[in-house]
Amino acid sequence: MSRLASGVFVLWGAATLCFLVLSLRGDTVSAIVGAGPPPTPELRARIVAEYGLDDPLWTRYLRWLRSLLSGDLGWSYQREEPVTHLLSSQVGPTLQLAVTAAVLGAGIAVLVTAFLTGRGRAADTVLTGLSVLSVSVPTFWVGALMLGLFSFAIPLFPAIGDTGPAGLVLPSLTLAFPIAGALTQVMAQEVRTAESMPFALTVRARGATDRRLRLNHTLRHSLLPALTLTGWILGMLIGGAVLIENVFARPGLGRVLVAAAAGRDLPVVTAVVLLSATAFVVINLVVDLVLPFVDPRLRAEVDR
Amino acid sequence: MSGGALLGLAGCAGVQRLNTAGPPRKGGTLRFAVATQADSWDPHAAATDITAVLLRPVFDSLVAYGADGTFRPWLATGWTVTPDGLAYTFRLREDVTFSDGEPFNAAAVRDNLAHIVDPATKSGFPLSLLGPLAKVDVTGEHTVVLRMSEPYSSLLYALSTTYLGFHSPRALREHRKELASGKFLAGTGPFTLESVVPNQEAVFRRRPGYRWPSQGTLNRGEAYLDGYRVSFLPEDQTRVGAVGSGQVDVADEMPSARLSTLRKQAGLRIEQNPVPGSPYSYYLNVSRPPFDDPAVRRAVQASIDLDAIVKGVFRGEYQRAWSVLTPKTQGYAADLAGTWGYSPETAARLLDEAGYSGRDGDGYRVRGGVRLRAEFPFAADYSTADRRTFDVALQDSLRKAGIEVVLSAVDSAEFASRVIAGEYDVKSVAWASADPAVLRELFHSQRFLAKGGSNQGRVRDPQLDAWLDAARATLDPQERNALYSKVQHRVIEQAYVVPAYTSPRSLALAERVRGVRYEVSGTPALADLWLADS
Repeated sequence: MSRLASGVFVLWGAATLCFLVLSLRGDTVSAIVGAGPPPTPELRARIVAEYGLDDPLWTRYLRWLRSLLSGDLGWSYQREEPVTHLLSSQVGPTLQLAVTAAVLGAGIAVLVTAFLTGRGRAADTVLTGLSVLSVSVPTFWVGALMLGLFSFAIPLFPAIGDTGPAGLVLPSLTLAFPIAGALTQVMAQEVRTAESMPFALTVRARGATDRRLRLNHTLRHSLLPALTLTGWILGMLIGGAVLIENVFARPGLGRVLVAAAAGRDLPVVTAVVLLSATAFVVINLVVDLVLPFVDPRLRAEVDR
Repeated sequence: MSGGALLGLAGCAGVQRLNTAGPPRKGGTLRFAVATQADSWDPHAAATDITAVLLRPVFDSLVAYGADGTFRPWLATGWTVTPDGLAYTFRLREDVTFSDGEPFNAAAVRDNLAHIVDPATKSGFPLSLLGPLAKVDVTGEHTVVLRMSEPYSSLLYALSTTYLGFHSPRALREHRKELASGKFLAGTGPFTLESVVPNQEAVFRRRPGYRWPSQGTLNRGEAYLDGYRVSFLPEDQTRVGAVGSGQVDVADEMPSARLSTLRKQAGLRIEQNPVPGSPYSYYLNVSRPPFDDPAVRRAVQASIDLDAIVKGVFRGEYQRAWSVLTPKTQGYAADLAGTWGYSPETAARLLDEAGYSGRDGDGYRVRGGVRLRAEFPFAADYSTADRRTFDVALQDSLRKAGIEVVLSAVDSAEFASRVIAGEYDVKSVAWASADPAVLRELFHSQRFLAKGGSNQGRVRDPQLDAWLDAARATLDPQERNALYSKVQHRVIEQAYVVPAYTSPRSLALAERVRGVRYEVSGTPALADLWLADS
């Protein structure tokens, strides 16, 4: 129950922040009019009246909060259509990209941790180096490199907005790199710690091989910190999607958000932010529920 | 008319290519990559250039530019103007229909002009094109009279743009809310808009039975292409890569830095088209210090080594500008070439005379303890890498002259509020337009930004106003051009503006794209294009 309350609080905070940031600076009328010469005084007056922009800030805030609560995300200032229309075609591609990237990233991390860690100091150094590199190299740059190599130079994959599986390969790989890198680092560390613990000795004493120890026992330990990283991964996916969608000319929420933020399209920005915040809240909730199944010690705590 | 000349030139090139390549082939979908997304799919509410470009084949106009520089019939078979210039009577074609089956007639013209004027449409630029339009009279099923409150020499030009194209009356009645998003469009053109995915693509299809192209269009019937698919690719290198690897047939706005490489690539050709209008220019805000002083403004003009910067930044691809109109624009004052330019000695003398004789610790000039400093905000979304590089070069030149330029990137809404309030010293803009009346928008005292105009430098100059008003009223093209020439000379002489460079529209085209003729804007005329077997 308190979890739900804090979730609602996060959503309310995110929405309010959007409203304040976009309402307090700049000129909303210009945002509504869009590109080109500024509006004439007559047009300005009409827009101010139509959107109630001359009302006091708190009146506008309450009116806007009320429409949000009633499930009305409003009309896009810039694109002159309901926000739900605008977003409905863009949620799918972003979700596809994010889920594929997350699964790929986690998959690579588990494989690397299971089979490549603990192969001596030199191998560990190489692995650590690679994972640091994958986290620190800009996603944008990796994307451009992938595109240049595997679409323009060697035409294996399409570059332009293909929403089929072929179009998903390069962008999701690009986005999976930093995730795999960070996860590998954390998981490998945890595996090493676990394998120096007394229970590992016991397992080995029973005649288990290194691989068996890793797959059946210690790898599980490493999933715990990995799962708690989901918040970071989600941020990575959302932030990365913005860049990736631009480089690969994919449709999606990232591009919508960039265009909307640049043009102060408050209803669209709010909708995208609320969507991301909801995803954040829901995923963290799910992680909290899943953790006890991964780690029986947490289950015991809950039981008590 | 420069636009007409452009069409004529490009048209000839098109004929040659057709002759060597055999008869046009029907079929195929052209894949076209563009850099910016349309802000609105309703031409009556649009401000972005790309809207007009992409919708040109969907919306026909009453008149068109002819190859010989005059206006030619299109949806109007002919027209007469009263000697006082206050009434234009258009006779319309009687066989034209909209793609939803509605007939095109005088009532449709009236309803469309009413739609632009209706405040609910929130029209900015298209509304300004109508000028002093006072009344539209339907005098017959296919006769319509446009009445002006004062003579307006730009009316025919305005009517030839996509912005004043025609929606079907049914679209205006039943689908008004769906025009801007492109969900429902019905025009009279050779193509129809099939679908739009925001930020991704727009798909256009050939309209069967089309047979009313403008005079001067080579293809007299239906379009050759089955359709065209437009991808919005904001990243320069994605556009370059896409056309280079054959994933699109035509890519718009090739960056100057990549042109030399692209020219060498097999299977591709680069075609460049001069764009009429105003070149990329720096406008100095004359309504506040430091640029309220003509000496300081002239010092700015003399401090920038434009030849060297243009050559360095654009590798010889673009030309420096001499006037605030581009050479391809009707009325361009060619005699301005060589009359002003880089002279650090002159700049130093002017600044000394203006009282900025001291220097501070950073080497900037000071007067009465105040540094010579200019605010230069820009809207990051509407800028390009080329322009940013150029701006920094300008900043560097002025630093050497002792003038500090503070460049700041702001978002478009923030930018708009600063611009309306006049809180800037330098503002840069390039403006594509085939009509030299763009000078009125840029310099008339009635066209301040806060009033919906584009007087970037907040210039109030009675002499300019008089010439601009006279040019708007006269129907004699020679007199009009003479007046616009005077305007161009005066804005340089008064240093209201520093024109910087003219860039052609650079397109990369795949070998199989044939029949290329260009619109005034420098983009290909899609109705004439065809795709060879590849």
